[in-house]
Amino acid sequence: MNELDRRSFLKTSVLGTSAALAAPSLLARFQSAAPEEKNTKPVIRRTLGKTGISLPVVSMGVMRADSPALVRAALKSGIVLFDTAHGYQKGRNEEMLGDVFTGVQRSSYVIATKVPPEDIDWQTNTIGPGTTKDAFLKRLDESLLRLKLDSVDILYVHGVSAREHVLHPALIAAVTEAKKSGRTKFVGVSTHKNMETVIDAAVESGVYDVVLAAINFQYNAPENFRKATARAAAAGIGIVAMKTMAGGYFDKEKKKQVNCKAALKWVLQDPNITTCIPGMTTFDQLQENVGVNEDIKLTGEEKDSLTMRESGGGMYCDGCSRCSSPCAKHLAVPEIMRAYMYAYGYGATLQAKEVLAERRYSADPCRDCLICTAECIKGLPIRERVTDVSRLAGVPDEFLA
Amino acid sequence: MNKYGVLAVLVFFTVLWNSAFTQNVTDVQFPQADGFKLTPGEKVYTSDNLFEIIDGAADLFLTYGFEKLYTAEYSAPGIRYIRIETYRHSSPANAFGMYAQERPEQTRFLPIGGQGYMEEGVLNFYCGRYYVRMSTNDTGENVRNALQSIAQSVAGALHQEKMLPALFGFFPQEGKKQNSEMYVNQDFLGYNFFPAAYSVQYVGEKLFIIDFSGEEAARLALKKYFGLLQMPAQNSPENIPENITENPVAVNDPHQGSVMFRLCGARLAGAADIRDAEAAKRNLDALARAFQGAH
Repeated sequence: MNELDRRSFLKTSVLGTSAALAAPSLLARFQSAAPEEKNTKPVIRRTLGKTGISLPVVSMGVMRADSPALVRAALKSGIVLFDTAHGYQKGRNEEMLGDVFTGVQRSSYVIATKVPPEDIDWQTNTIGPGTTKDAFLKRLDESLLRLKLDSVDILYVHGVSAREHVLHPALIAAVTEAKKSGRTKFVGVSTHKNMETVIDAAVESGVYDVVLAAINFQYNAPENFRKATARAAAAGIGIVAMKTMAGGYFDKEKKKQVNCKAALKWVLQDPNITTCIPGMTTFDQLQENVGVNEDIKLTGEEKDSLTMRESGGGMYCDGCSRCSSPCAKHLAVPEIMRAYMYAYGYGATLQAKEVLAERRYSADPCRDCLICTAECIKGLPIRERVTDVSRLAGVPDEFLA
Repeated sequence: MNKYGVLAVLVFFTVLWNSAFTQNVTDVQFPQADGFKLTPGEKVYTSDNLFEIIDGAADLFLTYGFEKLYTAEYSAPGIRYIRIETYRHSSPANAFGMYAQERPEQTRFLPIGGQGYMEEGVLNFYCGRYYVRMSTNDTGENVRNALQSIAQSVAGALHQEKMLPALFGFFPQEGKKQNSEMYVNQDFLGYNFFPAAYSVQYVGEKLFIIDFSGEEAARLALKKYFGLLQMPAQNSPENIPENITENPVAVNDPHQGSVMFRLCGARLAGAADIRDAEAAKRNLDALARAFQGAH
């Protein structure tokens, strides 16, 4: 992030028990400078289905209970929707939000919380007889107490992954009663698994207004998901996206960081997704994410960053054209590697085939070479990949995405 | 070697392989409990599928170095269940940090493992690299007793150190809110250059220690912070106040309010959420003295 941007974001001042750090003139300068730092770009907002709630495309998933200052800063920087859950930090997350929003004008923020069914066997994914309307509403009432609110804006049934969950009579009765009694304005379901099924069940129910779904650039069936969100949109159901950063890192060692802006923008390319709720733990992340509210256009560079960095530049060719040893048949290796990335990185097989077609490559251009002479300086298995992706050349377009 | 010799070697290695595998699978051995039927969970959860069992709460566990989750259920006639979830983290500090994130401020504390507490239908405790959560849908006295008994057995069987992370021992006692220790393993105060921090609540402030790999790393983080705060020229990022090793230096953070720092070698001691500046300075000095006394 640009240092100056960060500084203006902080708009800071200095004081101290140590006299050397007291700098009234500097303080005055920063304070007077603040009003000039207005944003000129409009915030991109979308409407959350039939709820009619208009939201900036970036919202906040409240991850930790120990950072009220971050939530306050988010509110000041234009974030409207704050997402929490009954179970986060055993309720401390909701308590923290309740404290932060005390005294804040109610119409200036939207609160969503998630309440899980009382009796669900996570191993078999079955809802037991302990899941009752009353048990669910009791949990909701605890959440409202912690949030110091009479009503939340969106109440989700937390973590459902089957049609039977979405349509469970006790849960339908509970959310209907929650809405009727004014404990929530709108109701929804949250899901990490079998999302398309859950979305369709929400449409089928005629009860739910919103679905909170885990979607990011690493999802293996983005087209299926997009079709499902389109069906939801047609039924007036709003979609909120979570887990948009795919964990934030490409590797378990946490050395290869995901380009967060790119990841958010990737999700927002689906016009039926109203807003994302990335988790944030630093002011830097907040500022970076809020920036996406003004620009969701995904650049080619950002798109590439979501695939090529997946293995630190190791999984996909970055087109350096410095193949240490050339192909004996003069194949345009970087081009074929690009096709490979389209096919395996984005799942865009038709696009991959088009790249191959431009060069008029056959289904197996390596077949008459005994030994491959082309070598990648990064050690990518060129022959294996060329053979693999070039098979697309023989597949009819109707079978490709 | 004849064919029997080869067979014997094969059998030996098969047994060795199986025992090694079994040991891995049963990393946590849940103890039996009198009158209860123990059913270990069939699935061991990892970072890839933790969300399946705790959904969105998994994110925070992952930031605290979650490695594996082992589950089990105890059942008895008349009681529907006692469920136990044993989360293994990458370090005791991380296990404690996660435990402390979920611990209520006021509760009934128990001397189980490093620290534990009990609420209606819930008994949670931290023990070395493990954070253990137990729950039941039966709140009778018998079940409460059973919860404690099973918890003690589990804590014993984990064979871990039963104490809080050692750095908490440096914090002064005066004015301290009991059982308010917290551990945040990244982005302390909302800044990514402040890594792992230990904090304790006091009457007039929150006292903290940020643990760096060395004094140079601590100074570098301070430079970044002061740089963001646009310190005046005489205290620019290139010129950290000399007296920061002798006296607390206070800054006004636009998000956190007044924050005090004192550099103690590789550790940055500080105070935030300050309601009583004098008390904060006094406690910060006491914390620094405790460090000096330890060296």
